[in-house]
Amino acid sequence: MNEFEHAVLDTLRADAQEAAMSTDTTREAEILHDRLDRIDHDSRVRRTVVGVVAVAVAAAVAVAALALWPNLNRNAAPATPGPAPSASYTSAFFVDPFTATLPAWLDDGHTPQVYRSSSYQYWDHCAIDVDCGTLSVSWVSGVSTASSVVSVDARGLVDHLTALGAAGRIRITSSSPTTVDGRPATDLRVQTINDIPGALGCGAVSCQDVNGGSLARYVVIDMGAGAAPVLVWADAPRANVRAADWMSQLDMFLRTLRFTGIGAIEGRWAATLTVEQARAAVSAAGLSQDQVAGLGDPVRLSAVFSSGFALVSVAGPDGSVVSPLANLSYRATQGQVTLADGEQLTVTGSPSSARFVSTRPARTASSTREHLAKALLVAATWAR
Amino acid sequence: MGTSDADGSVVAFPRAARGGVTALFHVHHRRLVGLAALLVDDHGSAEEIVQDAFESLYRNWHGLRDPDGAVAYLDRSVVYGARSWVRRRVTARSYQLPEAGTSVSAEHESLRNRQREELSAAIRELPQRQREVVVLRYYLDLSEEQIASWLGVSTGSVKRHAFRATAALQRRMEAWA
Repeated sequence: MNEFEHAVLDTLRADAQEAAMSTDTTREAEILHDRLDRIDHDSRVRRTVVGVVAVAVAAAVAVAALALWPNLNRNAAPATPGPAPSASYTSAFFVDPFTATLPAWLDDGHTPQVYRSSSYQYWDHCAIDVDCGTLSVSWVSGVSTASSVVSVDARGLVDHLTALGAAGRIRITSSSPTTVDGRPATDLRVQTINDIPGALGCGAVSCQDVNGGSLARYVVIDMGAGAAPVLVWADAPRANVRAADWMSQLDMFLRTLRFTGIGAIEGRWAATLTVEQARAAVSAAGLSQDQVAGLGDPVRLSAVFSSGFALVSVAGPDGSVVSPLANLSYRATQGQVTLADGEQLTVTGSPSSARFVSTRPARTASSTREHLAKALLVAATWAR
Repeated sequence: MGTSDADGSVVAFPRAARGGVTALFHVHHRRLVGLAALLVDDHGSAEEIVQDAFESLYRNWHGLRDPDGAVAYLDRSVVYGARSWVRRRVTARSYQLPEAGTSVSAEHESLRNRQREELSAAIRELPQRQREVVVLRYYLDLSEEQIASWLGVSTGSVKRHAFRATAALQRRMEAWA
């Protein structure tokens, strides 16, 4: 190794060490622990479902075989293999939780990379460069322009993608109306040309790109008035000889896609209460109405759920934090929040109109600030 | 059966998935965050990629025969995870290169540290594939054949990327000098 190569190695080691030493291993170990718990839970559920289905199928086959026995004897023929079984998937973090059957190409023996957040669920199958394919379910709150992110509804997102086609930045080969889970949707079949950073819309903290040189399908699902649309998209490099087949397999994913109600709570929520509503809430919680003084009129609130802490604050008109009320430690599972004092909250409604309903009281006493924060959290109707 | 930590001591390698993954996590987590950070810049993304790698290892534990396989699996998962991350550029708005030399006054920097900062910035500005080759070749000490296998490209392609990366870095260092 010459002097230059030594310098490169030293630099890489120093950079890596710097990054390594700034990570909080204890916190990361807790996150991993939770993730493994979730895998174990999903696995147990899957085994139970498979067991029940297997018994049901076996019983059905036995009944059918008995009924058809004479015909089977006369018409015996070699069995032909059916399509590869696909995995049923239940989202754990996505803001609009869903279940769906994954395309078989994501389950061909090569484990795909999976990324999950409240804004998107993403699978990346990439055995080697040319065999890549991606599938994503994205919550799209806006589209990026040169200077900012502009909010869009489903129609706006379709118009945005169509405009990319009209500008020659992507080639739209078909556009057809459809329904997904009973909701109106638009199915765009696309050939992409170059990478277009941020062009597929933005979620809570980031935007997604058009991947160039690919066959793609962009399916915009209208989640209802006032709700951000969901974009289901898949793409594969045109060099992938199975790209067209993989895009067709998206049909099964869309047919089986079911949105199941409110889910992951991570991220920022906002709510507004009248002073009267706030007073009623604190009274119901056994607190003095004086606690409402100074919170503003109306009482604007923000709640940011992140990494096990929920920061409940009085907010300004733009949603920014004006005065923190309490930082509540919590653990979240699908649709439920358990606070450090033992109080359990069930999350109901939709991302645009959610309630935190107390379903189990606290086991230990909270501080007045925490008590106030919880009272307001439960009283308000929240939106992302 | 065991795996060595950074000090060369040997830790137990439990056969049960949960214990095995946890043991490997405590030994290799920081190193893998460092590796991921060399490939994606953003620290939070690096931690997420490493979490994904351990989760993937847990899901695929039954297919492993020895701890060396598990460590190689983790290394490879982190490299693939970083590639996926960059490919989809999910952090398009927040994905920014760190500004070199803004943290400490240049007056108090040693020549060696300034050179390292310059080289660090130059590596981060390489095209992604060249950057991957540099990290795999120097940091993980992989052969050209191994790099080709990991990245799913030909050995010739690895040679080309390595040559271009080295040339670019040397040009940068000469200009700086």
